[in-house]
Amino acid sequence: MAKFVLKRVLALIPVVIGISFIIFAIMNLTPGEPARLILGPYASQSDVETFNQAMGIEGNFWERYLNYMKGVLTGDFGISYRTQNDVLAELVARIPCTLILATGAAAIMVLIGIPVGIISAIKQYSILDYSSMFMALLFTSVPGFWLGIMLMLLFSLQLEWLPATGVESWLSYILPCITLAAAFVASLIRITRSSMLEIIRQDYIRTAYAKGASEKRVVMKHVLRNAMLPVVTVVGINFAIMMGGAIVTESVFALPGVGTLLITSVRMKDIPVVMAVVMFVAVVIGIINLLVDLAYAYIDPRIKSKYSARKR
Amino acid sequence: MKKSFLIKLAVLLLAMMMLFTACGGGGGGSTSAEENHLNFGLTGEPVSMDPSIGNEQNSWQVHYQIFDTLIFRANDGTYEPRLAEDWEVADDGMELTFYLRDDVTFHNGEKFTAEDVKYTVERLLESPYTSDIVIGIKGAEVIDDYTVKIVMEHPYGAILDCIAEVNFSIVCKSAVEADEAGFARNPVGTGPYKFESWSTGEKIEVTAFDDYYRGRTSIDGITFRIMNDTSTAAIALERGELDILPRVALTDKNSLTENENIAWYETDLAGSTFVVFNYQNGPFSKPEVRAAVSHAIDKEAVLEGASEGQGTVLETVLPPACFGYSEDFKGAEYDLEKAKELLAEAGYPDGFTAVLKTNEDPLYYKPAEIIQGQLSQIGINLELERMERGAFFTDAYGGNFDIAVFNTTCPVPDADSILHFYFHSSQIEAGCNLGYVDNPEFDALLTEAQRSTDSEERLELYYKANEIARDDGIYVPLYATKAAIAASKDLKGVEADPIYKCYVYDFSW
Repeated sequence: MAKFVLKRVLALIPVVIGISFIIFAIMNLTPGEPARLILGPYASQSDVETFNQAMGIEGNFWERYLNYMKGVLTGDFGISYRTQNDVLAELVARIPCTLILATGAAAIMVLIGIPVGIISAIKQYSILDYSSMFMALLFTSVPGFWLGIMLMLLFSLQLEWLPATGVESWLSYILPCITLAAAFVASLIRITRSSMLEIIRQDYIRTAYAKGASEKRVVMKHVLRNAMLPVVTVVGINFAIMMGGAIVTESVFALPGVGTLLITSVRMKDIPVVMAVVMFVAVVIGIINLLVDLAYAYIDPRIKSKYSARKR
Repeated sequence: MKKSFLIKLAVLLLAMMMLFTACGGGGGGSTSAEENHLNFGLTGEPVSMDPSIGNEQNSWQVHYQIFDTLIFRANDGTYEPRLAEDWEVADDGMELTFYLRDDVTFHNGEKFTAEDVKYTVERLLESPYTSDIVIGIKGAEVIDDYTVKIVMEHPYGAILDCIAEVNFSIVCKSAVEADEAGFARNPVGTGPYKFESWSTGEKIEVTAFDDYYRGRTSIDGITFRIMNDTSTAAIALERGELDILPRVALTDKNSLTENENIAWYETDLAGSTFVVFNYQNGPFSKPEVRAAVSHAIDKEAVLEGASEGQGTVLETVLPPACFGYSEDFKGAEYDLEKAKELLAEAGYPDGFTAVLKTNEDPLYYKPAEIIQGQLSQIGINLELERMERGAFFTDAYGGNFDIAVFNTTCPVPDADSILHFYFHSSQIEAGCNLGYVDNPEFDALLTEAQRSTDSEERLELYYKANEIARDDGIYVPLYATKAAIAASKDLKGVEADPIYKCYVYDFSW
């Protein structure tokens, strides 16, 4: 098992290097000079050159990429073109907020998505099933920025229950977490429902009922556990996306997270920051996928034995 | 067993929701007046607290509070003393002597002296961010502890406006020298507020500086809250999470003015939106074609469509808030027949096709779309190319376009900062003369106006320059939008400003 984990972690390295190269190439080879965007309209050509020299934005593309990666290996992610601050410090300062947001949203997603999915599956074609499927469709279709503003108008401005912005207390995270979870809860409901339905039709479920087991016991013990694999996968993928892609939610609720840092940096072509954020997200996604795989082993003993078999 | 767990969970959730209801009521709407604090909305994260780096609005909003300039420019064009009690400009405009106050201390307790001014000037001269405010400046000389002389390479008509600009804020020499890189995140100035902390992406805190030389400020502290989304900022203002929001979106005017707790202040922005041409190549290199375009654009309609009518139609590229603006100047009148005639004269009786480049910012693409429609009436078919911001600016500064809509604000409210930078031939390639405009007669007037120190004479020269620009079709002026500030009604002393200058020192609850 330990060897399996180590292998997977090592496999992340080429992935991150590959991604870093692609992003570096896209950011450097697409039109748009960072100096022009950052120095403003009145900068003269010599100002642009001074800036490029100071920031090391000159010379051969390959040389620059190698220099950058050399820095990364020693833990030096460079300084931001825009603010002249240490990139790593800027990124690290943003992680807690995004982590709280993603965890909160994932919790809401799981607490709503799985139970609703189970109920829909058990009561297939009932009013409950139709209405939960309808709600699922509705929430996936509603854009995040709209939902966020509407929640804010209702709960902050009209009812005055919750703050609209800021991160001073945990209350501030409630609306953003709901907004973020809304987009993802639908896929979880659907995947829970369909994988439950698939299992319910299996012979061994019929056997369990034939043995006289209660519905509660059959659903909880036989169906749910077997239906869990795809559900865990979706939870993992959604959580990973939330860690890197909560841009809209963070902007709408003025949260100081990784997403807002990414969007500002992309707009200003602040290449060192974009690189660091993207690599961070890549690593997070890699780690979460690994955790999902480990969860498989816990849920399904057959998979666990496969992992262990690789030991030899 | 598992079902009972779900039930417990549901009960827990319900209890939590009831808890929010219970404690939420008191949370909202608390006014900052009670605690004498100000929540100040920024529309994005400031770049830097170092005045030689932070050359954008969000940085300036904080700089206004923690730094001081030598002099202050009021909106009527007069100057008031700040760190300099008095100043003299030599008759030939080659030397400016500033007599400094001797009772000023920095936030770290150091005394403010002429050395700090000299050091500040030298840093600005070196910085690639601030070349627009050191035009003509050669250097600074310390005469004695409280007298400093700024020496010029050539006289510059708007030099006092530059010195009053916020990037010309005086920094503490010893603090910068101790940690230059750290200064951007831990600034030391002489302003009414001293810097406390900066939580990246979230907020900046400053508190009143007790030894401020003009007397302690009335509001004890300011929290600058970073709001990337303007709708969110407007909601936060309505809820009382913000007390003031300079640079509020004009589209929020209706909803905010309906709220009785909010006051809306607006004035003409010191900035303008205009059409630029490729002066050297393509169909627009012919003066008749450019003139035809200037007669074919209905500016009122562009203003109405692009900015919901909030703004002022311009006759020259200069907005009313800029020195050099003349109320009686008349630009090209809207006349489609004349436009068609001019186009025929230029050899395009049936019109032609060209590319109109713009970017994803509504300040650019909205007017561009309307102009595309208007010019099709005289047979000029423009293909609208909506580009990514960075790519657009690279093409624009590289002269790689046929026709484009451009937008600028001028922190130094002087004709020179638009006309010289955007249209003088010396700025081709070296600066932002986008269309590579090269008109020697126009150049000569601009240079003369730039170097003159007589404001009457300068006004006349700019009037003449604008006539040439109109006749040669160097640009087509469109409009200046409004600069608005929204604030809590209880906050006193707030005024709209053409470049959103906002001194909390002047406010009180």
